[in-house]
Amino acid sequence: MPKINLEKELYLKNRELYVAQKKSQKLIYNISECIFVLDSKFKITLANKKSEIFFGKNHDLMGKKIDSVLFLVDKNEKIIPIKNFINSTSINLNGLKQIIDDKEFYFNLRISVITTEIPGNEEYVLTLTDVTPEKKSEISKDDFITITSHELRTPMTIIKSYLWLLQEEKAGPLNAKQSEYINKAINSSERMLSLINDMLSVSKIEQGKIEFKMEIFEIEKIISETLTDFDAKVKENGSKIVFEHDGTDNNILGDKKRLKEVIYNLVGNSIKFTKNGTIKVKISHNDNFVKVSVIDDGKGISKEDMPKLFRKFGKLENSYETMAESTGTGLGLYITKQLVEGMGGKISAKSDGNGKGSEFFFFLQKK
Amino acid sequence: MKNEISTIIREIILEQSNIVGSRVAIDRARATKVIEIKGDVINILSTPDDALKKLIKSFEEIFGDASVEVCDEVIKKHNLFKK
Repeated sequence: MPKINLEKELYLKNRELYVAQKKSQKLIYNISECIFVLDSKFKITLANKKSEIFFGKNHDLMGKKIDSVLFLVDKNEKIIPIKNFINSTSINLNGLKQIIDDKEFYFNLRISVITTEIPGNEEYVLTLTDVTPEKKSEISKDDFITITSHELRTPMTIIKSYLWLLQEEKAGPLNAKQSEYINKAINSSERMLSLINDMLSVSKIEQGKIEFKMEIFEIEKIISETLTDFDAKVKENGSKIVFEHDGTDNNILGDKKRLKEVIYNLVGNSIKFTKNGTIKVKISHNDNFVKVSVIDDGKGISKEDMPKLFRKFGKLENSYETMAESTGTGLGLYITKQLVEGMGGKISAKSDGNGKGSEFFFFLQKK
Repeated sequence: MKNEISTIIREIILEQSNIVGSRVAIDRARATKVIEIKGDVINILSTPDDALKKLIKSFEEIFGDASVEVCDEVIKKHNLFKK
C-alpha cells in the first residue's frame, strides 16, 4: 500500500471544498434577485450583490434585523413586518413597495424556511425580485384606463339620455325603422357604459382603491331586497326567481353594497343565459360559513370553459353567447370574484355542461 | 515593486488561510525566516523576489503541488510574472 501523505491529501480535499464553497457563494452573490439569509432571530447572515445595490453595503447589512432594512408596504400602504408572515401562506407577497432614496421600488417577495434538526434554529431565505418596471407600466396603464373611462362615461351618459328622449318620442313620433335604429343605438350605448363601469371597477380593484365597509348584517335580508330589483327583467325573458332559505337569520361579516353587486352580477348572468327557466338563489349554512348559491337551468358551461370563468375578459366560447350577441363585458365574474375575496370569502362554480344549467356559489364568514 | 510583492505575499497567505486555516498559513510564512508578520503588518526581510520564492517553497514542502497552484493563481491575478 502506498504511503499516504496526510498533509497533501488534506490540503487537496480542503482546497476542493474551498473552491466549491467559493463557487456557490459567487453564484448566490451574482444572482439577479436580492437574496437575504436570516438566522432564527431574523438577523441578516448573508446578503448578495443585488441586495447591496438596493439596501446598502454588505458589511452594513450583516447582523442587522431584517425589519430595520426592509420596509415593504402592501397596496394599502401598510408596512408588512417580515416576522408576521414568515409562517403565513395567505398573504399576497407580490408587488410590495419600498421607498429607497425617495424613489419607489416594487418587489415580489418569496420566503423559504431552512429547517434544522434543532427546533427553533430555523433559517430563512428571502428572495426579492425587482418588478419596478413592470409595476410602473401597470400603474400607468391603470391610470390611463381610469382617466379615459371617467372621460368617456360623461359623454356616453349624455348620448344615452338623448337616445332615450328620442325613443320615448319626446322629439316627435318615430317610424318603425327609426325606432329600430334607436333601439340598437341604445343597446350599444348601454353595453359601452357597462364596459366603462366594469373597467373602472377592475382598475380600482387592482390599484387597491376599492374600499370595503365591513360590518355584521343579516345576509337573507340584503339578498331578498336585491332580488326584487330583477322582477321586471325576469318577467321579460319568461323566467322566474326562487329564493330558498331555511328561515334562519344568518349574520355575516361583509360589505352590504359589495354583496349587492355580487348578487347583481351572478343573478344578472343567470337571467341573461336562462330563457323561460328558473333561477334559484339558495342560502345554506354551517357553524362557520354561509353559502349562497345561484342555480339556473340555462345554457350551462362546458368543461373546457370552466377554468376561464373568473378571468378578466373570460367570455366563454362554448356556452355563453359571443360578443356580438351578448351585452356582457367579460369582466363581471372577475369583478365578482375580487369582491367576494375582498370580503374574505371564496367563490366557485359548477356545471354539468352545455345546456345543463350552472351553479355559482360563494362562502362568507358567519358572525 | 516591493509593495506589489508584499500585496501578493499577503494575498497568498490569506488564500492559504482559507484552505489550511490562518495559524498554519502564518506558521508557514514565518518558517521562511524572511517574512515577518506582526498583526496586520508584513515585513519582508530579504529581496521581494526571494521572499516570494521562499514562501511558495514553504507551502510546497508540506502541502505539495496543489499549494503551488494556489500561489500561482494569486500571482497570475496580479499579472506580474509569467509562470
